Amino acid sequence: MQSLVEAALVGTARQPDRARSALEGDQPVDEVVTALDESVALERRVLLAAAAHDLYARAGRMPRTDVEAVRAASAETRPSCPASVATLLGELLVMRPRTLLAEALGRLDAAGMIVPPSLLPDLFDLRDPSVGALLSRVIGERGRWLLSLVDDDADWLRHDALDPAEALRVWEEGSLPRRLAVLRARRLAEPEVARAWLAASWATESAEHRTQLLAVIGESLEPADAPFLESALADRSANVRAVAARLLARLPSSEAALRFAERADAMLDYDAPSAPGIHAKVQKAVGLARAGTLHVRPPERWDAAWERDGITAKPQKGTGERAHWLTEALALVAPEHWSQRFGTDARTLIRAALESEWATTVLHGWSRGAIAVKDHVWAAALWDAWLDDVKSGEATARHESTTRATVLIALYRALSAADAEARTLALMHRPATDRPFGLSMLVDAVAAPWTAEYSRRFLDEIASPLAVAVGAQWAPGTWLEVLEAVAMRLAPTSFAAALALAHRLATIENAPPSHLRELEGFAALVRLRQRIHEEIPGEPARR
Amino acid sequence: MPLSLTVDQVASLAPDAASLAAGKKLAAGRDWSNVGYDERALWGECKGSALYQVRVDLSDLAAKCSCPSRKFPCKHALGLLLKAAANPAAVATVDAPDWVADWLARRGAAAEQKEKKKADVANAPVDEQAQARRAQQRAKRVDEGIAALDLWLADMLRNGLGTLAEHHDQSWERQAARLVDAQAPALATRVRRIGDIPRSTPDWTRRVLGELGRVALLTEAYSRIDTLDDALRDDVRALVGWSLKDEEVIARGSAVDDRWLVIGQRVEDDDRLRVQRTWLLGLESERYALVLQFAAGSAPFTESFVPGTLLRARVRYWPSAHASRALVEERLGHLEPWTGQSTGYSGFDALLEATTAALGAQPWVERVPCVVRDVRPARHAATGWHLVDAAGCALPLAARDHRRLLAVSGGHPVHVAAEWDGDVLLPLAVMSGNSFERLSA
Repeated sequence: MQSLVEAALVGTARQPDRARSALEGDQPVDEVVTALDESVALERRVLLAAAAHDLYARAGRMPRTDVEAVRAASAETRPSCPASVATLLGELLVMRPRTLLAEALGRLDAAGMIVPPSLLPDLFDLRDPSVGALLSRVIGERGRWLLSLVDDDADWLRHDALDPAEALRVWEEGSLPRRLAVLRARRLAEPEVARAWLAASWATESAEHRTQLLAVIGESLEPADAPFLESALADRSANVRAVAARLLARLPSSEAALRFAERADAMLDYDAPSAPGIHAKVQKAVGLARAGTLHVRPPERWDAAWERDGITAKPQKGTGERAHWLTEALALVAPEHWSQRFGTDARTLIRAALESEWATTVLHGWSRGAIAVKDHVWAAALWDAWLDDVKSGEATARHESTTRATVLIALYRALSAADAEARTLALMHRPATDRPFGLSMLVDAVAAPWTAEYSRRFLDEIASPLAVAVGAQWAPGTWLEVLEAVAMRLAPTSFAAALALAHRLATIENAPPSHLRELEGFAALVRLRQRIHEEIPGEPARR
Repeated sequence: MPLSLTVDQVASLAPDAASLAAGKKLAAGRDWSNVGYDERALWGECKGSALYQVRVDLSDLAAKCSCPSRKFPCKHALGLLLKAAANPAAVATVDAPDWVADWLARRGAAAEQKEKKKADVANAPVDEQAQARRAQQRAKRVDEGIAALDLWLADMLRNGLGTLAEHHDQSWERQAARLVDAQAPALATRVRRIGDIPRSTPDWTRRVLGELGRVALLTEAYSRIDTLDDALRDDVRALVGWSLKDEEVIARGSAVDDRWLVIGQRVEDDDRLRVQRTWLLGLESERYALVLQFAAGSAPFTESFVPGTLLRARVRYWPSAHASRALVEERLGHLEPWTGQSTGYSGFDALLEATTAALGAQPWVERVPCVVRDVRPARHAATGWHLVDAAGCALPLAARDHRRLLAVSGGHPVHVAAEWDGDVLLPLAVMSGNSFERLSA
């Protein structure tokens, strides 16, 4: 065939002899070729010879015998999920956001089961780091086997299965997301090794990478990190210094934390109420301790030494320099320090602060300190103060009113679950104009999954405003718009009540079709979650 | 349920993604009442903008719904099938209500009438003179088209294929268009496809020369068609572009009654026409059959074939020296799921032998279907993924994503359905235990 191909390439016009000799050969098939009548045109004979050779090769094709089957996957240690669950997972795979898929995978993991092999490629293709860690636990031996065979970019779920040598290689050569992932895993397993890794590569990392690496430290911060963080305070980048300082502030026994407290001490003083008589004692007994006076002394001048702690000399536009320095200095101190130093509780100190001309500045600094260390007591007291004592009307500049809402939202994350729930339910009672932020934030305020009790009360609260919204012809900014988020968060114990509510509201007369669709979408999501909980046990099956 | 389809199998019936999504939503919903089934049908009432009555004939999955949708099957029918697929136990077996029984009766009557009409057509007096004149005219056109094609081929060989590689010209397309005008459409498609062989591959000239040779072999055979035996004559005529009506196929082709496993399906988009290729394998006869369906634009295909199901049917082959293309003449019972019945070749030697036999009977055979039992994935350092059988013989897989095949196998023996094109295996499905996973789109 090869000689025929070469003859056909140059053409019979240019080299007819080459074509003629290509028609000769000693393979059995050449007998057919040479039997062609000489009177047939040369071109035709070359074509027919090609057909004969092509057919000869096809018909005589032999299999290879030098290819070894790949090593088989190890036997599974966990059972595969039942077919009905596989079907459900297939449906959840195509949905966004992946909250429901994550919920189902989480239950699957808790039940000690794995996904069926046929779903593995689609799951690998998700490339969604938010489900990566979860997924790596439910892909089973089959999944790990498949990952070892395909050079597909499945790094996002491969990291925690790495052996230490491979992990080190990834740390030294991998992409940033992969390096962060192995560092995270290593810090949980062997924090000393992780610190050694960081120390070795620190000088060669870019500022942006240094910031992100520090963030990983923050996820599992421990006192032994202090020396490394202290050294990071000498960083060239202000951003890196600021992140390092914030982490050090969370380690109260570190030298840096003591230095931060000392600096702030010079800015605040507190005089207890002057007449500790019987009257004050009675007031204190009923929880109304009279506040003393808080003396606020913001720095007069910039001190270049502060730069080391990530405090910038220049404030953002709209904030005075002194206020900025004060906030930054207070933010690096855990507020519990003030309760101890002044010998009184958070609420009393906050009331005193509110009397000061620097009220919002001090509150801001304290709030950031409380958020950093998740101080439930201070966070609750500050939250209440921001909501009720700092009126948004008082904020003259626009940025201050956003600050109030942002601080409240940030403080949510430092509240105890019970405090967050109580405050959200209380806000729901208020008219919309009297709430610092919108409904979607209210839904988001308490971390998912909600408790049974909170779910029940939340549904009770929204029932009647929702009924009004459904029946209205035009209902922007109502609960209808956030129902999907509610469905994602409800506790399983409230599924039935949620469906009953949706069913009841769907019968409201003259409700616009778009509102009914929202209700139907809500009900469909709840039913899907119901199926997840019914079909995936969520705990290991009893033997 | 007499039929248990998986959700994936139902999904393959959907005319588009939107219908499927809507069907899934309906399946999960509570809008259903009076859902039931019997030996012949599945039905239910769905509350949408009105109360819609949905019914599905279980013998061929034909659906009828009282909704105004033009999609087929509509979202309600898909919803009903999905609901039954997700939870077969929730569907009650009861007597069919009148609106279902009536429909089934009408379907039966319609089928009978169609038969009668066919018979009428067959018995109708035809203007034989006019027919003969038309056939003569066409034969003349085809002869002229083929003579021009032969000249073109010779010219190409004279100038050398090397000149072709230099620039991608329109000559293939033009030659194909001429063959369409000459009423030799199948030959036209063959020529157009040669122009599509990628020129970047190192064996480009070998492949092009091989294909040109096969075209020459075909025109050669056509020039002496009277000397060929009947079966091969039918093949050559079909390969040039004469098509047969279904009635002619039924009158002249051979029939096989069997339980047929739908081993795979591919849909190929050709500009305006979608071509669906469905491969069947008879469990008793061990015969393979290819059912082609054509649909314009987004129109649905007339008949449903769901990979991984078994249908009892009489299959009628096109007359051919290597019977492959077929039509389902009559369904002889309702669909059943495949439950692990053993079938197919025991190894690649058997497949290659069958390929040799096929090429010996009809040298233009392009793809040979197969189910090969107990094969395992294997990787060759230079040429990539293969499948290796129990005897250690291996054939290469087409270069594409084989992760699903690998995942289902896990390195253990599985049965694989594929098309063998002489170079590579194009997987259609993988079977493990009693699970059937479709691999082709």
